[in-house]
Amino acid sequence: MHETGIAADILEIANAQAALHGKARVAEVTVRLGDMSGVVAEALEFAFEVLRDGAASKARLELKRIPVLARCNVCQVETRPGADLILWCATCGRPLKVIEGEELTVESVVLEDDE
Amino acid sequence: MAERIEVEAPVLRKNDEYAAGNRQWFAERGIAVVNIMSAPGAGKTTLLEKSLPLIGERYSCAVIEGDLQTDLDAERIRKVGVRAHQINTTCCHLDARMVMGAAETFEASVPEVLFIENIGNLVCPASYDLGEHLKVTLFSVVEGADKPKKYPKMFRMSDCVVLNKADLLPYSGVALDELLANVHDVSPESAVFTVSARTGEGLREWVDWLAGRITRIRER
Repeated sequence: MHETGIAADILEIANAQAALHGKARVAEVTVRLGDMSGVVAEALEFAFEVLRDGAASKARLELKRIPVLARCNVCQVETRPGADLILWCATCGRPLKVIEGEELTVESVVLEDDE
Repeated sequence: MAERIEVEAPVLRKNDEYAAGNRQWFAERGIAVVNIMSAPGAGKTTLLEKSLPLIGERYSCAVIEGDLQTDLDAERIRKVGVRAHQINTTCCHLDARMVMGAAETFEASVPEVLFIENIGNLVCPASYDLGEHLKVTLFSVVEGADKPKKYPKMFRMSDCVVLNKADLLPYSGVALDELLANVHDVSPESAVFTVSARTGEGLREWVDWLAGRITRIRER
């Protein structure tokens, strides 16, 4: 699974932030993870814990799950598709655009100085 | 003292930067690039073996093959007279940097159309932009009618979904109508073709669609 590579990319971004701001430690990394990002949260958490290194060697991974939100560009109606994931507008029958739920983004990091 | 820093960095930014570089490299050389993705065993190599002679009537082609081990697939492509470069990687997907390394092997005489046969995997390859022009999801009907809903991302982002092994439908217990409806639900805007790469059924329609799209890409 590609969660290992993704965890390594997240750690690289976090460690670069610590270096950029001259901080000794990354205490927390907050990642927005869309339900349709194709990334398995549990696998990502496991890989992150195993791969933690450098300033982020004790960092906590905070995952913000983002449910799928779709919009009809004709009716301007926004809907949250259910588990059946029908991405068609219930009103006008046109295809919906997914506007949320595909995120895979490092939102913020919490950095600390040495005690 | 603890301090929260807003970062807002896409996790795959590095891959996306390489993909942008690939796009420019392809554009400068007039190469149309098609990324074919599927689970293992859906028939990517067979589809290419059967489609390349038809596409080859109009455009010069080359293929990048991705697999964990062996160059069996590249050998199969070469047997139909098309140049092929094999990537072996322990990764579960191809990324933009691997693709550039392989594409550069065709630098001396670049093809008009470059096919990328991704690693067999219905999940991970969907996350990685390769700088390609067209994404194609290949799906064998025997994998089951429910899979487009279970693995929506790859279907959703594909310009085209090719349903393969139609010749096995009578033995599969899979209702084609239900499979087509599920593809349509999650990916309203993909072109969909039902084919049997083995018997040749439906291949002409898929190849005509592909050739039309390639022509438009190369005219840009």
